[in-house]
Amino acid sequence: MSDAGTSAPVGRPSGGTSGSRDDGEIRRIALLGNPNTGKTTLFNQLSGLKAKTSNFPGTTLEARRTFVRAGSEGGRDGVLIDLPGIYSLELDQLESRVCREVLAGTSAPIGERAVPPECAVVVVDAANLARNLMLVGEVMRRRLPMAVVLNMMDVARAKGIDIDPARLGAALGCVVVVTNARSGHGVDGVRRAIRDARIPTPEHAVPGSDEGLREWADEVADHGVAAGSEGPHRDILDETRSDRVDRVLLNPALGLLVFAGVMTGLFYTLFVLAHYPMGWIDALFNGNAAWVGSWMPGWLATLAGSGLTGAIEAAMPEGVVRDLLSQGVVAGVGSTVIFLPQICLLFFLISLLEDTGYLARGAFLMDRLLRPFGLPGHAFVPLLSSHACALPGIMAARAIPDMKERLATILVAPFMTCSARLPVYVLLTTLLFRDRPALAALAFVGCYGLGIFAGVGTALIARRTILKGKSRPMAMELPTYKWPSVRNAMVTTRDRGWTFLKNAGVNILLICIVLWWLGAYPHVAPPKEATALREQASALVDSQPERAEELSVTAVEMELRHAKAESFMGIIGRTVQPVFAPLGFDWQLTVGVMASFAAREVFVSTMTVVIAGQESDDAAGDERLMTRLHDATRSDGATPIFTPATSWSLLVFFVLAMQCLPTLAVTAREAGSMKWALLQLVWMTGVAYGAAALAYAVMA
Amino acid sequence: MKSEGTKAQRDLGTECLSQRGVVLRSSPLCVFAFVPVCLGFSFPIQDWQFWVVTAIAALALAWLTRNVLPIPILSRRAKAKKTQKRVTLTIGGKSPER
Amino acid sequence: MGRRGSGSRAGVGGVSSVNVSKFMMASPAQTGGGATGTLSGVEHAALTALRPGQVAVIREIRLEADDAALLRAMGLCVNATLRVFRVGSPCVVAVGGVKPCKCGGMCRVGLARALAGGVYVELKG
Repeated sequence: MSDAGTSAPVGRPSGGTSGSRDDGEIRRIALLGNPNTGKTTLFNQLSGLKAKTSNFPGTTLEARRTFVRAGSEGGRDGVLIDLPGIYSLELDQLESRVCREVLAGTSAPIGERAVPPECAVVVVDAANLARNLMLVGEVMRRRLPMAVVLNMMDVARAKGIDIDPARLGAALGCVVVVTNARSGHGVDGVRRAIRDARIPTPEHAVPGSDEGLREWADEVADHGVAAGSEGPHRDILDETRSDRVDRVLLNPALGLLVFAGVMTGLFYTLFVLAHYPMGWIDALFNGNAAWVGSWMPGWLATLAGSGLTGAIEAAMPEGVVRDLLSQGVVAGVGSTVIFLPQICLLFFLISLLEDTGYLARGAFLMDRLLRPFGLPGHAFVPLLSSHACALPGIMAARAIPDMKERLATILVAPFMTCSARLPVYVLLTTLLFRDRPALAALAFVGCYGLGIFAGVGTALIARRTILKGKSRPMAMELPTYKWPSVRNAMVTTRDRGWTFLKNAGVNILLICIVLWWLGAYPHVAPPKEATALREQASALVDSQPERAEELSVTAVEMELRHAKAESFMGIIGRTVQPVFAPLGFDWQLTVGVMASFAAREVFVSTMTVVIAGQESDDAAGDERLMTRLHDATRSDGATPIFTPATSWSLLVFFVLAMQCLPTLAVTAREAGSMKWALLQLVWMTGVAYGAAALAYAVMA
Repeated sequence: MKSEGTKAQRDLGTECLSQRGVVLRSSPLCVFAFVPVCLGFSFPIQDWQFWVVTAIAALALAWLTRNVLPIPILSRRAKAKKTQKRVTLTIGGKSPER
Repeated sequence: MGRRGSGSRAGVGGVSSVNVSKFMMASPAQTGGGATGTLSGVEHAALTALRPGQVAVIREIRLEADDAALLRAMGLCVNATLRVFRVGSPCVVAVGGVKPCKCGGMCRVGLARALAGGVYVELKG
């Protein structure tokens, strides 16, 4: 329990002088406030979109900090630290503890020195002043130089609430500035307030007890009302427009219907809009013949027509270094970057939705659906985000207050169908339902459903066994509906996209390099059939050049398949194949599955090389390649590789298996121990194996 | 032994894959290929590019598995252990048990 | 992203020495586990028993210490006025503060049914 009720000084001299600091002239400024006060929006305005993100030590709570210039009016530059939104410093929850420790100088974001801040800036919602002033009072007890930012004054005035910042400042004994963080109005005043911050000398001392604090906050709020103000236009308890909207959006039946519609619209928008930048990125890496123009110089025409891969192959001399660059590095980078539009767009849309206030309602709606499985309504956003990529989805689970519920969410997030699975789904559903797109689409949707079903089922089992415990009921403020801030959404999108590139991108690139090497060595002599074909081609090169070319191409494909089969990758595949025999996989499919255990992205390209002897990242669009895959046979030369039973088994396996090394790494970090990541890997692999074996047995 | 195909074959891009490779030869670099050679694997150890890509792949593998490797420069666990200090509490210079 | 500030651990348990001393004298067993309770002879109903549109004053919060502390921090304290907008889960209430003021106090709080059932109120006439 914290030392509530005391006004213990934190050892700081009045006036906020640095005195004993040895890190130059940089001030540390703590920014705090209740949730939904616009604190993040104000931080983004002050930071100019240049903020560093780290964690608070020993926690997964995100810590953002930015450099704040003092401005032309004097004062010192500073580092502004954005603390988590809290209702009270005295609550025994992680966010409150972190805020207490930062204000006491015993903790700081990783990368910053743990020293008491020289200034505390408290953001309050002008439309909800009395409650917000309770946090102001708690900060005042700590005798730090402080300033109060009165935000959302426009909303308050629209409701007839008129606060006089001078009167409020006199009552609090500190600087009070008015801002509209959304528009940026008053942000310069915040810089001046930071410069002029001093230890408050309120008209009435802040009481030590909770009840006393509440009464004090009410009195100060009353005092802050502008002279002559008549108060709100309506009784504070009257129904507002937001309440009328909530009657529909929180309705058990209608609300869920609207929610389903909003989510459908979100995903539809996501896939439609993301399709274009994904096509551009694919063209950047693999080229697009339609982009080649006669006006282009040679190098540009090569880049446009063959992409980075072709440009590297044209620019560099033949050799394995060139192959590593074009097939390992470029392919690795491309296979990550191509998902960036989907991930960024999903987080952009989620951030917009959250800013409107709708996601808070959505969390309550989902709480009813998720609670029977031991998951809270808060888990909805992480699970939704995991449909783009589990990595940021797992990081979003930090917002879940209860540790066991957070762990359960982290464990099941990878079951949600992520973007990397989609090429595999497209390949397999196309093979299964070649001329029946409606059934293919249905199977596609079924894959999403299977992942969700497995996820909530796993959560239920976990919450009844290893994560047994009572579910904490939800209590959450429902913010007023408002137009979202595009700026905030873009900042969130940038942060999440960068996290994805940094964490997943680097790892996937390194995985692709290792997989390339395993697939390239050792060298083997070409098969006799290929040598014979080349000899035939040589003999026909002058008389029948087209036939010779066909034979040569066939010989190259044969050699590639043979080289892949005899490579370390192929050897591993053949060695492990008996394990996957109950699932109907032959050694070629096993090679693809083994390769994709590190990163799902490589499955399609691995399969097309192993089976068809060609490289392609767009198997679904390449009719000839699809025909080859469809007609490919096993070692006996007769049995097709992709029988319906095998295809179903493979599809189910990919829906459920844990095949992402970066996700395992993030799970270990967010859950606090490698054992959770290993449990996740073992459980998901086991479930995938069992379900795929069952699917094969049923369909065979 | 590397041999070149005919001009026609080069034009057609139909040189055999093995004609672009290098068969094992005696060389100081053979020592690095001793084990795989004993296992019957063939590596183009005369090709400097082979060593470049192998080094890159080895570094990539080491980075991916750094959490379980005992190499201090790469392993996070080793770094964490290095920064941990064992401290013995005493009262007046004497161990509390006495 | 996400919302912080809900779901808490044990917090402080201060009660007003002015307004609720009479409640401190009451037997803790009096309110029982039903939808209503009696304290000092006044009938109190659990929040879940109210209908949309009804205005009430909070008289007692019978929840675990950490949940109660969070509700207090959100404005749902003893003697605070509230209006019910929605019953069920979530139970949506408008929180008006302990005494009327001109400063607004527009705050809508959503409570899971389990929490709403531990908030005992007195209907305002």
